[in-house]
Amino acid sequence: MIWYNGVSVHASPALTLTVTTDKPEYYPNENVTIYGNLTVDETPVTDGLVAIQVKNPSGQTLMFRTEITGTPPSITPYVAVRSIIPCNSTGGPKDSFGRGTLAFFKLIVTNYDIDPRRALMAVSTFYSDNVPFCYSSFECELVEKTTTSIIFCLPIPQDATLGNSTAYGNAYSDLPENGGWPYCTEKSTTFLITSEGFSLSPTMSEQTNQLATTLQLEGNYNTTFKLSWETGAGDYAIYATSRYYGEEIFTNTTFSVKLQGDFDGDGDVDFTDLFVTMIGTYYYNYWNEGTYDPKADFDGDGDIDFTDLFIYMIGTYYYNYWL
Amino acid sequence: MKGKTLLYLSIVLSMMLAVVPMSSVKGSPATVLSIEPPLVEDTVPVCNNFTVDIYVTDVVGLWAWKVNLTWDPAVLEVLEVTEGPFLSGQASPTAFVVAPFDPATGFIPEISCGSIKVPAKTATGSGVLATVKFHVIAPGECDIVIKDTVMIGPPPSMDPLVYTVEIGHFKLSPPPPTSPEAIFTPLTCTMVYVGDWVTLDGRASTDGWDTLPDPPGGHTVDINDYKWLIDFLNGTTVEMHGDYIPDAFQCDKPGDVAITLTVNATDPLQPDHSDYEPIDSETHTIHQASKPMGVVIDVYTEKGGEGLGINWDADPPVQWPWSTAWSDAFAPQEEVTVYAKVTYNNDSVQNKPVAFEVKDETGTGVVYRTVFTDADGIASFTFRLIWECNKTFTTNYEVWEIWASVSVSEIEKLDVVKFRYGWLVQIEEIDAPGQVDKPVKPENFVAFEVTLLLKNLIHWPSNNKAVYITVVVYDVCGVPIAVAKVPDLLVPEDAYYWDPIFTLLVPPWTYRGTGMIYANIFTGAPQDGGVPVCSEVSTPIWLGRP
Repeated sequence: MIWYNGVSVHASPALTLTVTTDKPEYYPNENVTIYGNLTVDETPVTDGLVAIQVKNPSGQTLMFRTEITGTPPSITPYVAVRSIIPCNSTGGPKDSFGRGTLAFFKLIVTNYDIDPRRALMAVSTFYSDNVPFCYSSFECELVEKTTTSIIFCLPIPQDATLGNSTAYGNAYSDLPENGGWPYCTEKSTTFLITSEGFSLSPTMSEQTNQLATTLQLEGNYNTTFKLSWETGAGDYAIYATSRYYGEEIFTNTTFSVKLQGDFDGDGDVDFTDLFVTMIGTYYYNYWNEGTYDPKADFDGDGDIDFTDLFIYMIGTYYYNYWL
Repeated sequence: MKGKTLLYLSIVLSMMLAVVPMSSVKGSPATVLSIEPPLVEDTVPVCNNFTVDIYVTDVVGLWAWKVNLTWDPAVLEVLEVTEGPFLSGQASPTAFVVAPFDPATGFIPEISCGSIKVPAKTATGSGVLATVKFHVIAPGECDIVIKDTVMIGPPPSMDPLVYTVEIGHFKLSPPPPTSPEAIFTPLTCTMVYVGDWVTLDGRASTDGWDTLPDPPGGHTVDINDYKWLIDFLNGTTVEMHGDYIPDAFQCDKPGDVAITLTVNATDPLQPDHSDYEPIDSETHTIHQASKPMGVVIDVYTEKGGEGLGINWDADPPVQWPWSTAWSDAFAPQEEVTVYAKVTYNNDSVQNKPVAFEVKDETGTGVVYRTVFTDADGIASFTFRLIWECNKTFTTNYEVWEIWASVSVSEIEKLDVVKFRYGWLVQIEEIDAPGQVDKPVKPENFVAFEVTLLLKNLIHWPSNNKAVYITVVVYDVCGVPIAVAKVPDLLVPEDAYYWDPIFTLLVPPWTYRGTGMIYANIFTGAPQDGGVPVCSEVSTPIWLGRP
């Protein structure tokens, strides 16, 4: 509140949101922790929601999550995800899906507002080791005071990790990358990925819809996911958004993924990396340990220097060109 | 005498049920005494009613039962408890007892029922023992609990039955911060005759709901001012205050009048939630018309079209003055009920033959009828819309007309009503990328968006219905590679280019080539008897790198 000529004036509170990762660079199969905090006028927001969208270097969305910055907001949201249920193609409950088949998830959403609300509903799936593997979304204007169900279809990869997996259902005002903010806390459910192309579970297990949030304190939030072994190298984008008492905030950051063995840094591990490693070893040994190996002395001048590296690299291109 | 006997038996029944020792129960373990439905969540708003049943499942040899009922009186109020058909259907007559209770306490000390048939009869199976009607007082959450339950078999042993008890639960989420809403009559396009008085009624307006400063629930913010602004559109305006103003003003000459209601629900408790707007306004334009004298005929359908109307073909719709009334839209082969009201100096004309002609899009008459007016001066008939085997709509809908004419005292009058005829909800277009690459490792799939451009011909919300929308993608070999569906989507009435966006996924096993996207709208899932609402629409898509 600001006092102006003896009159109190309410200024818009300054909402700030930070997002960062625990490391700037990762290798495949590593855990990525995304964290940050939400403050208003430098005071931690302890009942806020933060939408997180991660996109891979090719621009494909990797996952959606909604995290809380303390406790879930107490007021009824305009749009709420009521439940997420793994199901068959017609919406009948089903708790396991085989590799290479289609998994379905029924998301039930209610618009509590007295006006229509544009909403983007998304489902993200994670393997048991927390590797995100698929997502789908649906966006439309929800008629006021109505409940809508959406059946999402997500393919289970042929090489999917077997075991208990988790699906998260979220509702945003738009894609977080476009500034869309979370309407409500996310809902989650577990399902089983089996090696068979059909459900192995003849009896339904109890649906485990739950609030997929962990207790956060002092306006902080965090979420962790694991990069798969096949994660591509490059820059990954993270978009984080929030809305608190009418104020909207958007922020983003990136992290990069390097591949082990990618010595030439071209985003893959191939023959070039192998050759670079080999000649690089000879080069290193000669200058640091005094070890001379004539196999790497391409010009035969008695040392292993840049000329040999140059000849080797040209040779590689020659090889690449002709073979 | 019979009433006294029943009362006596009821008292005896209550006494017998009261002394049954719970420790001696035996019988079928599968029997369940429950509240059905077990959960009523966010489906019944404040000031509305709902019912739950006290339900027994898989019982054998039930002769009498008793429960007491508790609930949160701050959230719910019991209006009435009525006997269900289960016991009376198999062991009639029965004595049904509801002990006197105070709704404010949230407790009914006894609801009981027993067969009084001699020799004793029992009921077996599953069914409703009693129905409880609740009134929702306020948002909140509470259990609906049946306790101290007793179910016994027939005399003389009156063995207690074995069963489990399942309670019910009610939940009504408090609304999000909600601004007040100005709602009033007369509605836009109301026709008022010159000389008539107009009553302004804003009592349907809704109060506000602010969630600050008292979360988590919130509180109602009453509307504290109703301001009416009457604009005669000739430079004259009048301001009035009050939620209900009978005979507010008198129409003086043909023309339009704009009426604006502004409601103010300023919250005395500060601060307000930032989404809470204390003021809301709504404007309706009514039409003053010269009072029709002599013979008048007005033709309309069960979907409206009385008097003058709106031209929904125009964008934005043209309101008053418009010479033709419009009914709401009809679907292929839907039955149309046509009415024509005949009056003379505003008095119904009975037993007069009325000629009807229904004309299709091309102006060709397809239905001719003569119907006499009834005691209310109304002639009516029905017909089903023609659906030729090779029917296709050249545009996204057709406009049909219904004409009616009558002669009273050799004065001939006629009227017409129009309606839109076509797929009520239809897919205008599929908007999708022309090409989507197949996934390349390490991606498991490639996502792309498909937008359906939908149109809804329905104008009145009461005629609107949810639909079942599906999108399926075939690859070049005809293999379905992706599907998405929304089972119960309500397309807003009069929507034009309403655009739900589906994200679909191309799997790696897609065959490279030109695939197809098919979009369909059904009334429900085909396996549940859902039928098409409109034609299928498709568009090609190149899948894989070119």
